Amino acid sequence: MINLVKQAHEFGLVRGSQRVAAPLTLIADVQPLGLQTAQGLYLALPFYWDLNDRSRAFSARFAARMRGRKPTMPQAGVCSGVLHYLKAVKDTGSVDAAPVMAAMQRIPADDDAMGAGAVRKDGRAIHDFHLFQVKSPSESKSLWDNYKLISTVPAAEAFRPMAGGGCPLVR
Amino acid sequence: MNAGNADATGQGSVVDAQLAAEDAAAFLPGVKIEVISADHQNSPDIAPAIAREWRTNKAVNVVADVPFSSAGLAVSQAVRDAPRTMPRST
Repeated sequence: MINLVKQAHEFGLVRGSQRVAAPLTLIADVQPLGLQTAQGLYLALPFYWDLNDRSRAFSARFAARMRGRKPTMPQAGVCSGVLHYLKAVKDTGSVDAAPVMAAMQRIPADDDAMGAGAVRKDGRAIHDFHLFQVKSPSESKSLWDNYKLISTVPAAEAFRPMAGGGCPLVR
Repeated sequence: MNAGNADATGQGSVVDAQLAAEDAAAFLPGVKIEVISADHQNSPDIAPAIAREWRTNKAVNVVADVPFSSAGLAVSQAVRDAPRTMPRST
């Protein structure tokens, strides 16, 4: 992916007004690419550190322990998932997998890292997804100021519906 | 933790599990929550071996993160029959 974005820049695709999208690009990919090379790239993520006050507060706690780095989407997901698991442990008073999993599906997920979400019957955690575009160097005000928000897809529309997944847990 | 997933997950994922454990202290007072970690080296052989060791000898209740799909799926299989161990992959 990193090589493709570099080549797209080298051949002037974005300057030539073509639009380049790399859906699963993480901020850990954009940082080494640099904004000069990655500018204009579209990507879709459920998390960006500078999305709102809660994501900024969570990311500041992370940065204090990670030499100023901002969390990636999978890292934010770990915080959200572990916290949601522990809420289910509190709710059930158990650490057995079956009741805890049922509670994780019953309790709405909500935390600073990922915001509001839910765990479906097929075990998939869902939350809003956002379309971002990588900023140009002149638009960026700091090292980690990398994305502008283009649009948001609500959680209910952002994931494959359970009926289409064929998961044995929902049969 | 090294190699291709280190910046995207790695030590940052460990820090985030610790942040979650610290937040949970507010609603689980008196419960000791310990976060341990290991480097599975993106290997579908090493990852389930670590998970089995954790569930057998360390009474681990939940496995989080596990980047690299082949390693994550192998961990899911390894803990499937353990009633007190829940896998979770990103």
